Amino acid sequence: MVGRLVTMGPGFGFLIVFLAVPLALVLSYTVFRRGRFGGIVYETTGENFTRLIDPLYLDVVVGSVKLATITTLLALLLAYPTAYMIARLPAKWKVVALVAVVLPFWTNFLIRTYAWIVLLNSEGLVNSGLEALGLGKLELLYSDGAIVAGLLYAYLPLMVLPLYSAIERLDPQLREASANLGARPIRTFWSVTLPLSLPGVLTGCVFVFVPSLGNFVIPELLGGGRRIMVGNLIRDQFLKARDWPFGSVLALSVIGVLVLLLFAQAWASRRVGRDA
Amino acid sequence: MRRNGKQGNGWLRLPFWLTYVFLYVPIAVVVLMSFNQNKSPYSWGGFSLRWYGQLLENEKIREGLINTLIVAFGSTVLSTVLGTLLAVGLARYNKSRLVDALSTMPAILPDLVLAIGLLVFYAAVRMTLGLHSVLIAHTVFGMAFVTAVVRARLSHADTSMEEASRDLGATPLTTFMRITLPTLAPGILAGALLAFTLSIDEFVIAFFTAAPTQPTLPIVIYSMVRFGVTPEINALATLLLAVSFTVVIAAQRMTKLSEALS
Amino acid sequence: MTLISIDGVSRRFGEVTALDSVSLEIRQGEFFALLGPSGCGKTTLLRILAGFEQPDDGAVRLDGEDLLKIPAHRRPINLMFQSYALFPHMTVERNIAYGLEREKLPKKEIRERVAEVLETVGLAAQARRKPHQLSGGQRQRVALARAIVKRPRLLLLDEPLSALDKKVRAEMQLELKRLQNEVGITFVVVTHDQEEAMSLADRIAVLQGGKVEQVDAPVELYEQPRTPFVAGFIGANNLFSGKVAENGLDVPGLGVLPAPKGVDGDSALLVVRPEKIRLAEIEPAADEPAAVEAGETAEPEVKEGPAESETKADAEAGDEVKAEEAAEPAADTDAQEVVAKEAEAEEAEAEAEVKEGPVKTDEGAEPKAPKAAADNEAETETEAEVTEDAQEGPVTTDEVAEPETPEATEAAEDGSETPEEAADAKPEVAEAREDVVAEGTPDAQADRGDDLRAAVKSAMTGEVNAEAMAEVVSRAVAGVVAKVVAEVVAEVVADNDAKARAKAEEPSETTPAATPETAPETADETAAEAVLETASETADEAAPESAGENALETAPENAEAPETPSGQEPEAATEESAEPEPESPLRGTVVDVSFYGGTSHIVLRVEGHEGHVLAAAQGSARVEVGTEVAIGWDAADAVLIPA
Repeated sequence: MVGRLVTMGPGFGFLIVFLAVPLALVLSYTVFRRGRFGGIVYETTGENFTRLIDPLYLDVVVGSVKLATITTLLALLLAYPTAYMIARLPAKWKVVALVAVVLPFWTNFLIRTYAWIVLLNSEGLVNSGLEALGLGKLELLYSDGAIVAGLLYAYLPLMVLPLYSAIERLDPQLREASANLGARPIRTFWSVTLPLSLPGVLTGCVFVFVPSLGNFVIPELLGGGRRIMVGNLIRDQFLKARDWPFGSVLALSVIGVLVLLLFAQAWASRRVGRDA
Repeated sequence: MRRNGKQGNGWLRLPFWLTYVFLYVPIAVVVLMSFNQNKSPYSWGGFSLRWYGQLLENEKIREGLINTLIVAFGSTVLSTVLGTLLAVGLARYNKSRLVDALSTMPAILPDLVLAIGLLVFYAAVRMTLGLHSVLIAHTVFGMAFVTAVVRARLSHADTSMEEASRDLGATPLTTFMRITLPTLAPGILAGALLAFTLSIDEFVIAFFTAAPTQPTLPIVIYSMVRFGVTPEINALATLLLAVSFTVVIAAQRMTKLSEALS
Repeated sequence: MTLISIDGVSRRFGEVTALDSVSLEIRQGEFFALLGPSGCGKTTLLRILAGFEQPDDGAVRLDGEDLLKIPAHRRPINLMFQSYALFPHMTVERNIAYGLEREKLPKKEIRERVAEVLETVGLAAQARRKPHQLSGGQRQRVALARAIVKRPRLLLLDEPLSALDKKVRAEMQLELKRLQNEVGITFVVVTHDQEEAMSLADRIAVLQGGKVEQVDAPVELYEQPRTPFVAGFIGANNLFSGKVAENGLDVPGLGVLPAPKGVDGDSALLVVRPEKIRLAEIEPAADEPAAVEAGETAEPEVKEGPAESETKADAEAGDEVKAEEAAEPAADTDAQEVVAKEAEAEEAEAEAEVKEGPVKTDEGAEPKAPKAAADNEAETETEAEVTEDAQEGPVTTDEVAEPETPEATEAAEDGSETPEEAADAKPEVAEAREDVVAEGTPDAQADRGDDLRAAVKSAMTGEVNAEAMAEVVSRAVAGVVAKVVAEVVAEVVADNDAKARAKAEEPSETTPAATPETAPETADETAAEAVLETASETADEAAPESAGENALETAPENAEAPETPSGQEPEAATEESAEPEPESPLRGTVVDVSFYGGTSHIVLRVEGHEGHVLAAAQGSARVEVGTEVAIGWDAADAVLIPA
C-alpha cells in the first residue's frame, strides 16, 4: 500500500489536477452560456450544441472532415505498402527504414510546414519545375491541396508506424497457409493480410484523422486562412471570440470522433483475437 | 521465397520509395536553401553561411531558445520522475483501468484539446501564464510518453530479480534504487529523451499556455513563418533538423547500447 | 507407386547449405517421415514441396510432372503448419471452407464437405468458434481438417505433435493414423522427434546436415542403422569405434568386443542397444548365481524370453539337440533354490534352442526363463518335473530337456507347414495372447497388461504394430527361420503369437524405438515356441509366479540387474554361453540405476571407454551402484557400421 502510494501517488495526483480537472472543466463549459465579454455565465443551455448545425459552422465541420478524410486515405495508400515493405526487409534494413520514416517527425512541426511553403510558393520548386516543363505556373499554395499535403506530411509517419507493427506481427505462415489452400496473392491480401492488419489500420487512422481535424497551423500557413478547419474554429473561440462554451463543444466533438475511432479499433483488435 | 518475393512485391516498391521521397524532399530543399547566398529563397546564388550568422544575432530567437530550453529541461525532469514512478506503480499495483487510461490519455488526446483544457484551468484558478504554465503543460504530456516507454520496458523485466533482492534482505527503497532503477535505465533514458524532444518542438500547447512576453522558440518561429519565407528561417530550420536528427539517432544508439549492456 | 520423386535437390542460404543433393521417393499412400535434428534441412524440404521455397538445384516431380513450375497455390499439396496457422479472424468453419472457396466450388458442396470433415475430426460442435476459443488439440484438428478437406495428393505435416501435451499427443497419434487410413492420402510428416516418426511413419528418411542418411522402415532404422549418425540419433545406443578383427571389433583400450562378421574395411563403429546388453556380477558368490534374480525381474524377462527364443530360433531353430544343450546349463544354474526355477529350466529348454537358456539362469536369466517357459513350454507335466529336476541338479535338466526335445521334433515334423501359414496365424494370435498374458502370471501379467496398454497407446496404434509385426514376421519366417517355421504347428503358433506380441509391445514402451525390435523378436519367438510346442498355459501360470517369489526370497540384488538386460535377448549367450561366441572383455561399474517407463536404466562406467555404457532392462532391476559387472552381448545383436 505504501509502495502504491509512493509510486503512483505523485503522478496520479498530477494527472488528476492537470488533466482530469481541466478536461472536466471543458466538458462542463459545454452546457453553460458564454459571458458577454468572454468568460462563463453559469446558466445551463443547449444552444452551444445547436450551433454546431448552424450552416456557418456546419460547413466548417464538413469541410474539415472532408480534408481530414482525404489526408487519412492518402496516408493509408502510401503507408500501407511502405509498412509492408519495411516489414519484409532484413532486420538490419528494417531499423534503418523505420528510423528514416520517423526522423522527419522529430523535426519541428512548424519547420516541416514551412518547408512546404518553400516548395509550393508561386516561385517555389514545384512551380519552377512545372514552368520548366512548359506547364505554366499553378496556384499551389493557399489551397485545399496544400493543406492536405501539409497534413499528410505532418502525420504520415504516424500512419506508417502502427501499420508496420500490425503487419510485422502478422504470422507469415498465415499467408503461406492461404497460398497453400489455393489463394492467389491478391486473394490472400484481401482475405488474410488486410483483415488481420485492420487494427493497425484503424490505429493509424486515429493518429492521422483526429489531429488533422484539430490542426489549425497548417490551414493557416498553407491554406492562407481561406479554409477554416475545426482546429481554427476552436482556437478562435478560445483566443479571439472568447466563446469558451462553443469552443468546448467543438473540442468535445473532436474527442467524440476520437472515441468512436478507438472503439472501432478495439473491435477490430478483438476480431483478430488480440487484446488491443 | 526469393522468387516469390520478387514477383509478389515488386509493385510495392513504388509507394515505398515515394514515401521516402515525399518525406525528405522538402527537408532537403530547406537545408539546401539555408546555404544560399541569394536573399531570395528561390534561386541559387552560391554557397554561403551568412544566414547562420544573422541567425545568431537574432535576439528573439535567442530568447525563445532559452525559454524553450528552460521549459524542456524542467518538464523533462518532472515528467521523467513522475512518469517512471507511475509506470512502476501501474505495473506493480494497479488493477484499475481508469488510472491506466488517464496515464495514456495525454498521448492520444489531440494537443489542441489538452491546450484549451489547461488554458481554461489556468484561468479558472487564476494562475498567471508564464514559463511555469508551459512547463506544467509539457509535463502532462511528457509524462504520458515516459510512462508508456518505461512500462514497455517493465513488461519485459523479470520481477523475480526484485523478489530476490527482497529475499536477500534489501528494503523496498534499496531494491528500487539498486535493482529496479538500473533495470529500467534504458527505458527511462529513452522516455526522458522523448519528453525532451517533444517539449522542444511543441507548439500548440505552448501557444495557448505561454505568456506573450515569454514565447518559446516554436512560437517565435510561428510568428516569423506567418510573415513569409526568409532565408534566416531556412538556416534555423537546418540547425533544428541537425539537432533533432542527432538526438534521435543518438537515442537509438544509446538504447541499443544500454540494452546490450544490461 | 511413386507419388513424389525428389531428385538431387539442393538449397543454400548464403553460407549455409540447407539441402545437399537430396533424393527421395515418396510412395503413393504411405506415411512418410522426414526425421532429423533442427537445422538438418527437413523444413526446407517441406517448404520446397509446399512451394514456399525454390531449390537452387534438382527436380521435384509429382506423378512425373514438374512440381517446381507450379506456384504454391496451385499445388495439390496441403500443409498442416506447426503453428497451425489458423486464420484468427475466421471461425473454424470459415477456416476450413477457405481452401474450398478458392476452388470456386458450389456453396452447397463446400458446406457439405466442411460439415463432413468437421464430423471426421470431431469438431462439429465447435464450428462457429474462433481459433482462440479452442484448445491446442482442437486447433490442431482444425488445421488438419482444413488441409484434408481439400483432398490433396499429398499432406505435409510440420511437427504435428510437438505443440501438444503428452496425453493429447497420444490421442493425436492415433487420430493421424486413423485418418491416414481413412482418407488414403499420402502423408509426409516432418519431425525432429524420433518417437513421433517411429510411431507414425511407414518409412522414415533420416536427414542430417542437408543430406539423407538412411531411408528405411522404423524397424530397420532401429535394428540396422547404416550410418553412425543414425545409430546415435535413433534411440539410445552404445557406440564403440575400433578396428575390425577376426572375432569382433578391436577397440583400443577395451579389447575385442563381440561384433557380427562380414564387415569390409578396417575400422568400424560397433553399435549395441542398451537392452541388448547383458550384465553379470563379477563377485565370487558363485554358489548360487541363480539367486540373483528378483521377482520383478522375472516379469521383464518373461517378456524378453520370447525375443530370445526368436533369435535363437533363427540361428538354431529346429535343432532339438540344442534344446538339450541348453537344458543342461539351465539345470546347473537353476538347480538350486527355487521351485520357480523349474520354470526357468523350462525356459532354458525353450531357449535351449536359443542357446540362452543356460546363461539366463546364471544372471537372472531365470525371470525371463519363467516367462519364456510360460509362453513356449507351458507344455505339460514335464514342466513340473523339470522344475524339480532343476532344483535337484543338472541331471534334472537333462531329463527335462529330453521330454521337450521330442516334442520339439514332433512339432518340427508336423509343423512342416508353410512359413506363410505361420505368418498368417500370428496376427490373429496376437489378441489371444494379450488375453492369455493378462490371465497368466499374476504379478507379471498385471504389469504386463498395463505395459501393454501403455505400449499400445504410446506406440500409436495397435494396428500399426500388428502390421509391422506381421510384416516382420512373415519376412523372418520366409528367411532365416524357414526351417523352424516349417516345424511349427499353426495352432501352437497362434497361442504363442499372442503372447509374443504382448511381449513385443511391452518393450516398445520402454524404448521408444523398441516397437520395431519387438516385432521381429516376436516373430522369432513364435517360431521358437512353436518348436517347443509346449503347453503355454501351464507355464504361464505356474512358472512366473514361482519364479518371482523364489527370486525374491533368494538374493534379489544381483539377480535383477544382470537378468534384466540379458533377459531381453539371448541371455543364454552370457559369458558362459554354450556357444562359441566371443566373450566380451568389458568390465564396468554401475554408476547409476534409474527406473522409468517400466524399464530399469543402468549406467555403467567402463575403464578406458569414453562416456558411459547404458544397459536397459524391463522391470525394476536391483543392482546396486558400485557393483562390478561383466558387460556382454551377442555378436548377432550388435551392428557394425563401417567407418
